[in-house]
Amino acid sequence: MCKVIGMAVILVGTGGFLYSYLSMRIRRIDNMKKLYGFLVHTGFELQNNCVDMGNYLRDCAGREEESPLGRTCRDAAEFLENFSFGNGADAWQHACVCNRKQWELEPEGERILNRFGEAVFGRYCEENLKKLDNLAGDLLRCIEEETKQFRQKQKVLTPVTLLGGVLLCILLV
Amino acid sequence: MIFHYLPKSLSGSISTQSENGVEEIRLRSGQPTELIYSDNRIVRLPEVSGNEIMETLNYLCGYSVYLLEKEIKHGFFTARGGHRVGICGRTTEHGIADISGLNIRVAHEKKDCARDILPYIRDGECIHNTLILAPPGVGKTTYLRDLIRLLSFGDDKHPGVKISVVDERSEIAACYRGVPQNDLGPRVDVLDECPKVKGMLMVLRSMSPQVIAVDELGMEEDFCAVLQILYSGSRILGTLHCRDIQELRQKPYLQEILQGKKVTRYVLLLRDAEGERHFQIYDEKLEPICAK
Repeated sequence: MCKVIGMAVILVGTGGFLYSYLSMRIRRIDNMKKLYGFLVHTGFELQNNCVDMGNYLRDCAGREEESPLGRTCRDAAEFLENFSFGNGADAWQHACVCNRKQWELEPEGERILNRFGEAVFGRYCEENLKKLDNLAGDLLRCIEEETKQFRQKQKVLTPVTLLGGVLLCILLV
Repeated sequence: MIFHYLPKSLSGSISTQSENGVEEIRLRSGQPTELIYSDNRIVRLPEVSGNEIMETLNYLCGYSVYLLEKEIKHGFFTARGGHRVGICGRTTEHGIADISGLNIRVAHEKKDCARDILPYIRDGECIHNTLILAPPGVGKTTYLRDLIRLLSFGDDKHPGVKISVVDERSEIAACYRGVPQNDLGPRVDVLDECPKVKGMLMVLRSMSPQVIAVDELGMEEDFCAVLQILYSGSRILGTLHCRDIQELRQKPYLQEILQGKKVTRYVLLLRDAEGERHFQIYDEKLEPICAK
């Protein structure tokens, strides 16, 4: 009986670890895709509607609610409203730092997220649009790379983890 | 709340100063900041750097400096609250590249300053075609703004009047992103940053105004547009640089208007040695009706 329970615990543990790891990767890809959509939408709004960034971030926060993007936009909008920083890029960066854990991004993704502030709070609209465009391009490449790696890891990790679990069962139980 | 826009490094010094009576705030890179009060008092605060000037610019623009790219190119813009901000620095063909100075003209309305003038320019439910005359700095725009407000609200005996304002330099309504920051009343349509001539004809065609208000008439084409309005059924309420009635008679582009006697009220504003404002009102024959 104890052996059975022990085996079950080990298998559930390994399965849980696998699920948790893969879920984290899936969430990361989802967050990056959401960020990509955000970059594209921001570029569109800047170009066509001459949007005010404080109001825009507040609207995004309202739409995205509790997602990492929503929280970051909300924090940034609050910093802007309270004049907490001398420039908008610093306000955005600080908001990103506060919500870093929720994003679960790789360093490259974090870099792109941080640089959004420089891209939208510049003095010149055309320059801002070009920077946003570049960031969106970089992010798309990151998403493709992350998706490719996820598929490869999934192919390898799933059987390895399950086998590892079975081996542990044999060794320990 | 104008001090809210100043850099954080000045917060300590500002806390001891009053916002009441501040007319201008001048920030210059590497120089002390100046607060200029209406009683000609100047208070000097610690100097600011170029970065702190950019910080102030960010606050004034709501961190969206790119939205005011065109205005900054022309050297001034209107901030939230209606404050006029003049910009100085190194210019290029594309505008001001390195901003090294800001002059913030603090917005303040003088409500009811034109109340005594109103009875003399009323004509039934509307007003006479009226020109406000004064030398620079006396307050033509301030009086124009107040007249617009009073007419728009109306009173017990007179309904509110539909007024279209052609605000070429954003000084009357002080629009921020298209929203008037000054109180012009409920029946006012503002065409912001539109050239006067084009604007007057646009509102005449599209806004069915009872009165068209416009500031700083002076060029020949301005008065050509005014003549079109005078014959259109709408009334004109405008301002003009002029020291006295004699100078008015000599203005070259006004001759047709003066001879046609279509403008039936001229309000001459004057300032005495103590800074008090007075007005004299003339009819279409340039004969005085009253003086206060």
